[in-house]
Amino acid sequence: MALPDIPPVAGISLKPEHFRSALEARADGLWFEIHPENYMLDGGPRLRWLDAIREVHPLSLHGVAMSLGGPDRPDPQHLANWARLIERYEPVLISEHLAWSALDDVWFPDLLPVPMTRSALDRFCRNVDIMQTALGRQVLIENPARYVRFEGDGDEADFLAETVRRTGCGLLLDVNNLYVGSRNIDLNVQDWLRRIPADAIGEIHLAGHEVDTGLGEPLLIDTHGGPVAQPVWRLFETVIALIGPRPTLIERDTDLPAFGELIAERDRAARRLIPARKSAVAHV
Amino acid sequence: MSRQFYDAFADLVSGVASEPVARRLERPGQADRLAVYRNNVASSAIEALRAAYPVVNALTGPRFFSPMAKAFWRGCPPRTRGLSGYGDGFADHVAGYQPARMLPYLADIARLDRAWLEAHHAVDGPVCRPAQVAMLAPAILADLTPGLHPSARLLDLSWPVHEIWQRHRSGRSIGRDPGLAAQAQSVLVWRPYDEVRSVVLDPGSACFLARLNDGKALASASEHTLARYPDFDPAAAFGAALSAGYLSGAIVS
Repeated sequence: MALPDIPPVAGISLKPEHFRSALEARADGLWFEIHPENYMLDGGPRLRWLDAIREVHPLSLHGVAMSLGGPDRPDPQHLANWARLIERYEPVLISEHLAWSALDDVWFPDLLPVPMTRSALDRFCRNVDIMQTALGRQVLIENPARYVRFEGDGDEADFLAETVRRTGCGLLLDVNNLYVGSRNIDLNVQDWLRRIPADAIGEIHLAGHEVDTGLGEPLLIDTHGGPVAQPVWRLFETVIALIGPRPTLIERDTDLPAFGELIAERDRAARRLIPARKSAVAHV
Repeated sequence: MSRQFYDAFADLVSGVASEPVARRLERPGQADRLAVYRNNVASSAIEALRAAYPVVNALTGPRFFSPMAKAFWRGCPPRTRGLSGYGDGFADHVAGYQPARMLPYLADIARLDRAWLEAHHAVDGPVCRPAQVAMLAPAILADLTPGLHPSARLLDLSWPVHEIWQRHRSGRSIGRDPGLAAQAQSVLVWRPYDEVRSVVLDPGSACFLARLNDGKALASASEHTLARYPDFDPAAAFGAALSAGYLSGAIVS
């Protein structure tokens, strides 16, 4: 599947608290990303707000609950709910995670780590394939925020690259997750970026993290609860210098600031994309 | 590997046991880090409940609410994907939660919070407008079965908490100990369009609406109610329902 042809502009994650501001915002190229699970509702104003915003701005659906990295196949009901939202909102991008969150009939509201093993890779590729086939769309897969390594874990970049090769999925490069992994488990960023097929990267995420110093060694926790950190901005610049500009999202899930604060961060990302966009054009 | 890893992890994030996952770490000294996952799962569930039960949270305070919510999550973890509808049954949990026994009306507050959430996200449907029925002949009107609007939730509460709840909902707190006496109260919560509304019903109207909600015709619901509440005024109750907009417009073409 080919990557969708989306201009490499910057957007922000959208929460109900910001519906009115989002509807009224007119920044050049602004787009919004939502968690589809929050819109799997029977009816009501939340869905209508999104209808209205969708009329003005492109939309991306970023799932957190498909549990593609789990032992089970994707839940048919959840796939049907996704399909309904895709039909209604016609998102320009759809994405999910290299993570799991469901076991039997219990859902754990978090992105849990997938063992980087051969058998986990087989199951993950099977599930990505099921999701893409059911939705008739390419899915971008996001790299995880990692805190520990498990015995037998293979290389994360190889795992993702192999998933791209087998399923034709794209990738969502979360720069904060990559940075968090480099600090927490010594993920080698340069090596990671070399091994990842750059052409498959269809979207970039930028988010804030917190540093927990209560455990001796500092642990970076991917909280999405604050501004993007300086080293993450620098890594973002490295990434776009290397792979070219991509649609880039400022992600904030907790401690939601005023809409204008997110727009200011988004503008900062947008400014960094412009020289890269120009040089990408010149390169062609 | 495969299944065992996930089972062990489910035990970890459910707070059952962390050793089986810790044993699989490349660096066993980092077992403390696994708390990130355990905390994320629990706090996501707790924060979803806090958002779904804002008046319960306001009346108890967040430090009381969190362990109460955590205890609920342990017994009733989410069984569907996403947290928008999570928390069904929380009111019963509150009713049986020993530390909350000093606030015996708290479970009814939770029922109102839940009804608000369900009405807010309920399927949209047309509201029965007075003009739709104004021209109907009395015989046809008598046989009409105007069920309640699909968003409507009829509550039979044991405590008269509607006013306290509504004041909190509209940001007008009245303190933590309203000093209520137990007394039955019927409340209807519904969303005619975008805004969730609520109203206290007299016992006759509550009985009448419950019959309509069961699909009974206007005449039958009126007779049933009058047999129990001789002072009940069906025309007034029907008129109030029409003007407030909590009858479904789906059956009237």
